[in-house]
Amino acid sequence: MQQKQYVIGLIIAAVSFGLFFVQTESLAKQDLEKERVNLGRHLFYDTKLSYNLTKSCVSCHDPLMAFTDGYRTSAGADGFNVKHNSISLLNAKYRTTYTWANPAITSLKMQLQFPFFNQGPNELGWKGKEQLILSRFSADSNYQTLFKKAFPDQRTPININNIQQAIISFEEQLVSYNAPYDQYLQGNMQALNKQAIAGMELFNSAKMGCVTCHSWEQPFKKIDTKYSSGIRVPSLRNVMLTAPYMHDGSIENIFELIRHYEKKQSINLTKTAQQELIAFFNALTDTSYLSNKEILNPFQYQ
Amino acid sequence: MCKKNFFFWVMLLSVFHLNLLAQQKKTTNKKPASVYLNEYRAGLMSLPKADTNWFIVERKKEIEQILKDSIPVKWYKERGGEKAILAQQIALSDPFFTRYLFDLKTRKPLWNEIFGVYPARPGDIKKGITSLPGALMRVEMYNYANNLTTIGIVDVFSMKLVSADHYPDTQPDIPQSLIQLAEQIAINAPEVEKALGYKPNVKKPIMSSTKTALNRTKCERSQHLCVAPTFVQGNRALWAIVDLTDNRLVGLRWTNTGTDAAVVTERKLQNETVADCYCEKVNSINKNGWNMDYLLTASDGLQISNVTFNQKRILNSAKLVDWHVSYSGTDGFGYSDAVGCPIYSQAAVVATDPPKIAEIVEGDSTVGFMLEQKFFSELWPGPCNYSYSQRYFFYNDGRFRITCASIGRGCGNNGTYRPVFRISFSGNEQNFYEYEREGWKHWTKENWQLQNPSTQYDEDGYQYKISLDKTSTYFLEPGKGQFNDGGKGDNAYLYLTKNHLNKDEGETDLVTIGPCCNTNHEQGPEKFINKVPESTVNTDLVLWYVPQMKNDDRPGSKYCWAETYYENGVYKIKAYPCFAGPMFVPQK
Repeated sequence: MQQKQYVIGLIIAAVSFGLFFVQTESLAKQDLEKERVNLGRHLFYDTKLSYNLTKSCVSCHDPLMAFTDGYRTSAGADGFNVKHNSISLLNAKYRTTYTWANPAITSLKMQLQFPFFNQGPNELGWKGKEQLILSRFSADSNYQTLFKKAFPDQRTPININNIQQAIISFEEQLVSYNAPYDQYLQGNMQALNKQAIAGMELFNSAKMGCVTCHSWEQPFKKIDTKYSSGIRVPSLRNVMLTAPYMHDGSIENIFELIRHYEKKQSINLTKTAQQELIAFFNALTDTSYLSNKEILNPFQYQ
Repeated sequence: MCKKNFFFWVMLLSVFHLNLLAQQKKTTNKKPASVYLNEYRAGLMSLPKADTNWFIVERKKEIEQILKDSIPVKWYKERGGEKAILAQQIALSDPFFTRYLFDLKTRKPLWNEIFGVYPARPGDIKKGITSLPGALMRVEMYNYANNLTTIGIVDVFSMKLVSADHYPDTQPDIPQSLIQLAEQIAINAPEVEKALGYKPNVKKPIMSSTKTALNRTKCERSQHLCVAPTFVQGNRALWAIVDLTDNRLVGLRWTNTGTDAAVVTERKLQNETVADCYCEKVNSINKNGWNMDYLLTASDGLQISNVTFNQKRILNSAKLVDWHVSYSGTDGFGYSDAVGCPIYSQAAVVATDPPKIAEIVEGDSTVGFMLEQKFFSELWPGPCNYSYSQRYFFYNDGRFRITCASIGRGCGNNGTYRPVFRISFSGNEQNFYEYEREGWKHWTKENWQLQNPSTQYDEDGYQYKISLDKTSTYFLEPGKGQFNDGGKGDNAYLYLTKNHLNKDEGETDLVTIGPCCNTNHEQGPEKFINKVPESTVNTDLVLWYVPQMKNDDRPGSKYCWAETYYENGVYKIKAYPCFAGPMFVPQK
């Protein structure tokens, strides 16, 4: 009997220890990830990231504009514009491709090489300036601490790979799946008003043909990116915040966009129908992520 | 023994779990508060190294010396001679004018500088003030510590301060000495030399007097006094952003000025006729039932006032307070341009020709008239040079429209222009309404709103209406691209504020009221909305209207842009103005 109790005691102890270690390890991992996100957040917002201290990721990906920049095409560190319109970084974690016209770029890591090393034009301008930029972080006591915390096992953590890894960790936090339309799909029938519902029906109609390309993404699930004439079909989430539109930013506002597709589909929408569509697009807007200060500018919000 | 062991393990387990919980709690407690910090306060930017440039060393010595004085103010000695000195003496001996020279709690001296002394303008002279001709002078002082402007009107004959106002978070036009200091800081900065590839000691920068901002520095949202001497290099412009509160370069930014040629410029020089006949001199129009005064202000553009139609008073005044030109939403830099008379301010975009009155012809009929004023930078349409137009339209049927345009070309092809209009209707029983799906909704409190794609208009396209009294109401029709002037829509912020008769909230010439480059509603007028918004029912109201126009240099859609082109052996200038502004339509 005593032996039996002893064995049970041992088993409980072993299980508890096991659980404890699993939990500890998981917590340690979580902490480590948090530190990487924090480092990535600092880098994302810091102009030290560009060779001439003029640009950072946020220069083209502003949280207020759903992590786009409001320009037709974005300007690099030397003032020259890149070819394409800035893509929203929201939900980047759940995308399968990452540029406007290159389906081969299938990870954030691959994508990051462009702003870092592009030379035609320079974006952040790292090419040939790697040591200059790294030395800036090495000389900064705050960054020394941030890197040490994010990569505690490394003797020289301030390197390009870690910088990119930290930025990716941060980018993976940029998630937005709480638009009124999401709430509506989850059963909150009050989330959309009549106008938005009419707009949704119009959007889904065969006459409009929008859904041929813009099928709805399921929250927190990866979906295959579609391409049309070699150009990626962008997500319409937060579309009201991401003007100008198209890969080259050639369409200035939502009215022009609607006119463009009216012409393309040979249809003529009434003013009411246009307003309904816009009401539906508004229902795709989710700015709740802005209340999460941990993804905003660390130099403004601690 | 076993029981003991069992309890030992259970206890140990509990301790571990408690420890874990504590750790988790600790992590949760660590969640940071949302406190606004800039990188200096957060300690993320190193302190400036010891200054070795003689002009900064001298400036700092001068500041230290002045802070030891009983009146910690640097006097303005650049223009105006003895009269200007006397005006400063009078102002600085008045306790209201000098209220903020010292910290109100600690009584420590604060750094103040008088930026300018000018003859008082008609708008400066409040009701009831009488004086001998030429006796009133305007003294503009800036408080660096509080980012505060104090404007005093003094009578140099009776030796009294006749009025004064303090304007928080505003900055007056800077004096020539500060323009030179900013240029010296920019020209001698190694960062500028490195960026340009040469030391710019010969080629002078431009736009050095125009205030700017830059996010994540103390220049953000114009908390410090900052300007941007700008160097044009090929199709780009290098902005050297200089903080004149800390006397240092705080950042560099490149903008792309577009590939369109600008091989010739319409060199515009100050015109004596404009200065003598129109600068701060009231002129009148009496035409087609309309009667009004107009004057070219120092820095608020062309102002109309005392506007009546068929003897019915409609407007107290309307004017263009500022032009905010933003070149980056994310970095928050650009210019805050004042437009006005060159003799009264350091405005870089000035009136070079007199105001013009022209008839509005539709078909074969004259349907009204237009009052227009143009403003130019000297080397327009070269890159980083600006031209603006202000047009007031008055129709025979009682409608009127208040508009302005950027005629290009500016300092980049990614610019957004935000002109700030102040429109003060007449009457002290006004009410304001907004159209909603259900009908007209009364605004009972001070408020602001943005015109956007979801905005509702009534069947005639009106968004708002304002009733002046029981018999007179005007609809407001914002620009939506319908006015056949090339305008693509106003996308305007509208602010409704109570007009206080006992304090100056823009009735007189306003200094720069807002930061250049905010992309939200914080364009300046929101400062006049109280923390607890005041009632706007049956009272005196002011409308502030801030359209937003984004420039475009693409062939076929050029907007807010200008270029030169070659034709028949000569170069000519072509402009693509972006007009914006509301139409006011009387309710029949």
